[in-house]
Amino acid sequence: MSHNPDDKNWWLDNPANIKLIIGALAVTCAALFIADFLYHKHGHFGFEQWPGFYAWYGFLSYCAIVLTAKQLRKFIGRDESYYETEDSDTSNEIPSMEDEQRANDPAARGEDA
Amino acid sequence: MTSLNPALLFLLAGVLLPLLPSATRRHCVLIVPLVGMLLLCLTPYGSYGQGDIFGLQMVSYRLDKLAFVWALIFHIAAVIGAIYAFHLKDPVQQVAALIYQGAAIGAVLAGDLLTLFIWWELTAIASVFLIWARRTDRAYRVGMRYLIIQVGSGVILLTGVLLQLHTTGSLAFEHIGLGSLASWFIFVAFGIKCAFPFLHNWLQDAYPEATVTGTVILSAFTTKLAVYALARGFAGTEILIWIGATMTAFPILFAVIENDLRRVLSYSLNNQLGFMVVGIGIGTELSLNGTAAHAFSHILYKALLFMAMGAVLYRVKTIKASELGGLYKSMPWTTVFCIIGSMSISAFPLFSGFISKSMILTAVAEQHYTWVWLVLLLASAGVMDHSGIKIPFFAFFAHDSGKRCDEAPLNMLIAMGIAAFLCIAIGIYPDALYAILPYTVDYVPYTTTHVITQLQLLMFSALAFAVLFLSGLYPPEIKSVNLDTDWFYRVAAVHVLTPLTNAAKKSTAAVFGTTDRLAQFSLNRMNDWVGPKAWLTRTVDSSGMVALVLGSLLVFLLVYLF
Repeated sequence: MSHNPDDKNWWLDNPANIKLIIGALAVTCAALFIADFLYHKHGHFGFEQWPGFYAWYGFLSYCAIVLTAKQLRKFIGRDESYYETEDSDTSNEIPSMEDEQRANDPAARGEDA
Repeated sequence: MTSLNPALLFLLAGVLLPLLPSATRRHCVLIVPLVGMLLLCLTPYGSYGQGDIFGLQMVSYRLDKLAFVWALIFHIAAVIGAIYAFHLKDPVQQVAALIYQGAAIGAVLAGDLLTLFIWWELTAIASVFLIWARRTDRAYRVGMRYLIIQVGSGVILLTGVLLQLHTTGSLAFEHIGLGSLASWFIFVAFGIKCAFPFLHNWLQDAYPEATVTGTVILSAFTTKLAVYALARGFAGTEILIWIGATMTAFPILFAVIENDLRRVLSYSLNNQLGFMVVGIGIGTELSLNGTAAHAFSHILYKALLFMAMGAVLYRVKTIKASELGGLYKSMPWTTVFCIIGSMSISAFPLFSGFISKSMILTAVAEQHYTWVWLVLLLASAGVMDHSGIKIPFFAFFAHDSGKRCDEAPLNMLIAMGIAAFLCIAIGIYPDALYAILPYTVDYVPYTTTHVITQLQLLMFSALAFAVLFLSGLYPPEIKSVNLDTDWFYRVAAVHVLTPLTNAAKKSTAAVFGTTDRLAQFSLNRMNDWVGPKAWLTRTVDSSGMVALVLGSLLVFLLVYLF
């Protein structure tokens, strides 16, 4: 990243590569949809024979779930400290061997920063 | 010798463990499940450890095909858990883990209901220490809530067992089926531990609050023990189909909007249990095989996902999706293992979920439960969201949080590597798992139809994610908590009960005011006479005491002589 000069250039940091991945996903989906016409589908229900049934069902279910959940948040979402003031990430676990090694090793601490 | 119950080995080792030095303890925690697994595999099917108590036939160790699947995967989970926690020094967690795992194995191997009850309660009592080991006030309170519900399940089970004994005269743990009052008690007790809808919230409340390694261990045992108990006692009970279908669907909505990624996985766990419960409800050989196979592969990929998230929590000190992102740069191995876990739970071909979940779906279709089948398929798309995409995407990719850390410790990577290997191995070579299932398997997962339709479902779900995310419709990760049924006992019950208890206190004070004052007066007088500074109990110096003893001995001697 720009704020960390030691960081190398990561392939995924390039927006063009993200577009490449999404393009590949779209092509895969198109190919899978077309595949439905090229083989004899075995199913238990009549509607399974509809062209691209699983594709449609997957896409629409996914959207329905995510968008319903988004609305649900309006009703059941609360501030983080609603039940407890103590943060959920807090821990006083007994230090492990790994923790002790790192505490004694300044190099390991430096990398952590 | 081979008929030694492995659960007793865990229990004995757990009790003796605190006596060992810390460097030896962690090896012991690893060796015990390995030895236990050896014992288990060497034991032929049959009943052992039988005895009569008050004329009742008890079978403490019953090994058959159904019990074997669960006992084996519990041992594997214990080994993986021990490697994952190999860096720990905390004896409390090590002892708790061993006894908890042993109790779960003991319960699976129990041949009668009373033995089942004893192990059932021990899983509750031992496991709470994996939460308390976090040593925060928050963890203490969570642990108390967890313990009350878990022990409550045991009390309900005991009631059911005693009623069952009263009606049938037998303690044997065989098929029970719903009908009598006793069977309902047992059913509800199993249902609590299996996180049935409305009885589920202890799971999402407690599991994410345990220690880094504790959550991994918790995720494998309690709920799958309940699935086993249901499969043993209530196979083919139709209501389980509807309960299971509900369980697959509603936790998904909570998982989508939850910020704590280990809590997302707890909701996801609940959803996976739903598939197993449906399999039990269908009750055919295929569906029961499916439940057993799914429990087996589920324990592995769920532990793998919890391990990956635990490693993130351990290194970054937070597990909130809103604070994470871009960690693939720091933790590449953990990222890869997490993705393998995600692909397994989403049931991609060549991964374990593909060959186990589909058995249950096929069994549902064969019995023509169209609506249930559609719900399970919808839930499968939902799994793709919360565990297939959300977990790896928001932890390791998404917006770079700028956080940089070390890769997970070596022992954690090894544990994740083993689990990931098994997830893929089962996916590629399902016959190995099919060979140990309770019934003969007549099912072929890799057909053209199955592979293509499953890929369509998953890839179009992924496409939906891409569309929603890029268009800004996907709900953002924000710091928040979501209300669930725990609100009723954490807030509503407190609000309702506090005025009642206050009123009760006031009225008792009014009624018993006089007697209270009388009691207080008597206490004060007592204090005057025999209290710490009173003359009857005043401490005098030791020479006075010695003189008193000598004097009384002298009196004794004089009385004796004359």
